[in-house]
Amino acid sequence: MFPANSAVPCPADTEALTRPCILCGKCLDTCPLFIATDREELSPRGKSMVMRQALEQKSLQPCSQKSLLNASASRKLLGLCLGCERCAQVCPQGRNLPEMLREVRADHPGWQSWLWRTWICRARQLWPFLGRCAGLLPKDIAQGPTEALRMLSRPHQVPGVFRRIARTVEFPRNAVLFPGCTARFVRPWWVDNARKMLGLKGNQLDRSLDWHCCGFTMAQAGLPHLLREMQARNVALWREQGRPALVTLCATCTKALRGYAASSSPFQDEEERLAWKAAVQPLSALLVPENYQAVGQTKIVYHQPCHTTDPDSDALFLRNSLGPRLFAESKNTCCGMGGMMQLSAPKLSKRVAAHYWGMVAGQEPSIVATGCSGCILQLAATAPQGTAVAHWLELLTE
Amino acid sequence: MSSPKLTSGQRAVLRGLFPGDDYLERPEEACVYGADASRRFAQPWAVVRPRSLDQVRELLTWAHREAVPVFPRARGTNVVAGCVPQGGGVVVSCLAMNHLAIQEEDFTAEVGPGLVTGDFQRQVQARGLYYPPDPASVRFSTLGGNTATCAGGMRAVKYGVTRDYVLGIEAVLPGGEMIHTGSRTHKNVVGLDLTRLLVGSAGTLAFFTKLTLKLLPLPPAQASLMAGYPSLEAALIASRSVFRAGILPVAMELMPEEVLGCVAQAATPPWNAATKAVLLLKCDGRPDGLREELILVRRALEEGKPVFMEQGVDTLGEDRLWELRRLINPASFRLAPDKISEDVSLPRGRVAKAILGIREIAQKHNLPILTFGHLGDGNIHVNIMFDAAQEQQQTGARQARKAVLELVLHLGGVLSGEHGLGLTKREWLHRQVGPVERGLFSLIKRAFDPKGIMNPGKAY
Ligand SMILES: Cc1cc2nc3c(=O)[nH]c(=O)nc-3n(C[C@H](O)[C@H](O)[C@H](O)COP(=O)(O)OP(=O)(O)OC[C@H]3O[C@@H](n4cnc5c(N)ncnc54)[C@H](O)[C@@H]3O)c2cc1C
Ligand code: SF4
Ligand code: SF4
Repeated sequence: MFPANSAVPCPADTEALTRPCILCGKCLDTCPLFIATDREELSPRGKSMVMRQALEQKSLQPCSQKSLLNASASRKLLGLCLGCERCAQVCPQGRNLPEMLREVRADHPGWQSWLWRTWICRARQLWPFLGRCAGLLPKDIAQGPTEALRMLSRPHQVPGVFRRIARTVEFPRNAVLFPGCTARFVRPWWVDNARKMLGLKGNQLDRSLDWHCCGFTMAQAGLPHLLREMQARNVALWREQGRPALVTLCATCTKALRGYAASSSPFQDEEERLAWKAAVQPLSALLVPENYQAVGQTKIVYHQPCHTTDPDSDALFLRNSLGPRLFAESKNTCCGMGGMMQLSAPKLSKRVAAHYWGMVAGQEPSIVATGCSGCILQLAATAPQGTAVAHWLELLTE
Repeated sequence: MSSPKLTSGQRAVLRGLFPGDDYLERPEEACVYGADASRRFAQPWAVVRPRSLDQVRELLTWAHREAVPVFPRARGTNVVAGCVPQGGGVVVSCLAMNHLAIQEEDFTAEVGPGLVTGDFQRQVQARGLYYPPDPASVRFSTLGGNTATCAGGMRAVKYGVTRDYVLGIEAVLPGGEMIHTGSRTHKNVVGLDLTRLLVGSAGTLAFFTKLTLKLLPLPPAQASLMAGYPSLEAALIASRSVFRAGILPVAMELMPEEVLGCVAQAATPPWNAATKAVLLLKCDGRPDGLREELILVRRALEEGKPVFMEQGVDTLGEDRLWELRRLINPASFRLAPDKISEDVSLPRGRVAKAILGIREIAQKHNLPILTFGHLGDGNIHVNIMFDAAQEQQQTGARQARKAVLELVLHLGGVLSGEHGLGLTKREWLHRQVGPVERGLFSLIKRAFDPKGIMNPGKAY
């Protein structure tokens, strides 16, 4: 009665770097995008399916004629990923989907020009990440919308939550700040607070060095050349400074900088590569919680960024200095920023944020604190009235 | 690109009924709905995502009128191609229907079919209530899917399977009519038991829109024990002594040698090469009773002269032990890229015979075959691992599967204890079920679904 459309075994994506997707569905529950939407086509399994079919049919190549999947629609769907890597943590086949997606993007010839176009139109969200990579960008982007910058740099109004009570200085002798683009260009007071947190009087921490962007967004966007360029320049600057410890303020910067050590190219030799790996340290790892005293009654919820490195020293510091006043949100909550997704699907990104706020609502926080620039921008833009979003550095009061 | 098998008028109807993202027809968006954990695939004509009962009713009214096949789908974790749209049709995802209402006084809950079983369990447990069925996929499969497959799990030894917890079902028939089977009472003998008929019907009779589930008081304490043995026989002796001691554990799982090696590739387990079989048990109850029970269980397990024994008393410790069991399925793919998975069930006294017989079949065909599972209730999983790219292995795997199923039937067992026949095992039905019974199946199917549009070609 019905035309034949018989079931065949799924094609195996044997060309992929990892073992094939066995369609077990384990990853569904971890994906913030799927959880917020119930749309299986957005799940890691859905994207794996498109990839395997595309590989079978080579339909991601624009010239393919007879493919079932539409190349540009497939690419668009594959772009809908927050890059949070939660699926990679549970996949029994060891698949790292965001990593594979980066490669798909990087391989595609039309991708970069599309990206630049979109970047120009929507630079507002991404501007802080571009920061000092401006010199490397195509000319029209490099000029940058200054109005967007001003918008984002409005002063903070967060009540102080802890005070420093020690007179000591917790500053490793040879250390320098890697402030990240957001602190450098948009929220310079983070740098000042970082100094105070360590008990420093002068500006030994910030030697006003000309760092480039950490490159996380470039990697995610599938722009490996640009990423390599940034890595090379940052490593060169660090070398020039005598290979100091690199103190970071942003979880994403920490992850991206540590990630440099995965390749040998920016380094002179193996010893330097290892030295770099050991050098990158989040500010919170240097702090001693006993040196701080909680003040006021404000209820704080800590948002753990997807890019947190293990152990989460931000969370540890806050828990130890704030005690029971700190509420950790339930696991698996993503703010929905997702770098590239902000560009390709702002509505979906907002939907994930709305889901996030729905989950947090029960805890009625007055401040959501986190340690990632991307999360702060996304959460601040979507927070319900009465809830402030801050970098935990901003909770310091005199 | 449009879906080829629906007319533009039909597509317009669906688009109108399911606005926005709830109607999909682009192949790249729809393709994941064409596959499930069986790793079989057929491209759907279209996918719809109802959010309300009315949408389901309108959809099934339309589909019945137009004789368009519909394929109910939840999380797509079934392993028998139970929701692959073979022959083409409209896939109906019930994931957006995931409401939950708990009636504490009645010890019941009403849920949408798309609610994830693990989430449900967590929410009832927060109120001191308990929903025991726990398929290994509990964290990522749904109550709707569990009901349609009558999913079983580790706890079946003591607590039974999904069927034992479904008190009532609200469903929509092809044609749009609604039915309400069962009730919120824990006992009900009025009329034929349609609820138990619908549980396990694999989406072939009606589309579930609401399930009424039975809850128990949450046992306050539980613990797990893992014991490794120098031989399979020793493990079986130990398992028999547990029952003989008058104990009904919550779960009793067996992992023979082949499985132990495989899991060790994906995790760091407590066993070593000297361990040839592992038993994993779970007990629960009031703290005092549990303490006494554990002493008895340990004593019984000692009878098999274990090489190691580990106890998990807190959630974390228990979870560590059970995660090893859950890892078998994914870890099996490290042996070979393809698998034929069977979940036969045997009279409990014949399990040992079956395992040894299957080992012989593995040797004969020179393929890794994993046997493991719910020793406590006789439900044994058989994973025949092979590489489909090698023709010889593929043929060998098919022959091995045939030999395994024949052996099981010969021992008085059944073709499937949990997963169902779906598409992948359907041609075996006649080997277990007689012609008169199969005739009744057809008549029942026709009574619910005269045009044969509900998940056609599946299960029976
Ligand atoms: C790693 C792994 C471990 C597993 N372990 C177990 C186990 O221990 N025990 C076990 O029993 N199974 C197990 N399974 C199989 C699977 O998880 C179960 O069959 C589960 O019940 C399927 O649920 P689902 O939500 O994925 O449903 P799906 O796979 O989407 O659907 C299953 C069936 O239900 C039908 N259906 C779905 N929704 C509806 C509805 N609303 N109305 C009517 N019919 C509907 C579908 O048509 C299909 O026939 C396992 C699977 C995996 C991948
Ligand atoms: S967890 Fe891995 S193998 Fe399983 S469906 Fe997701 S991507 Fe595929
Ligand atoms: S990286 Fe995150 S958003 Fe992307 S598919 Fe995986 S879980 Fe989903």
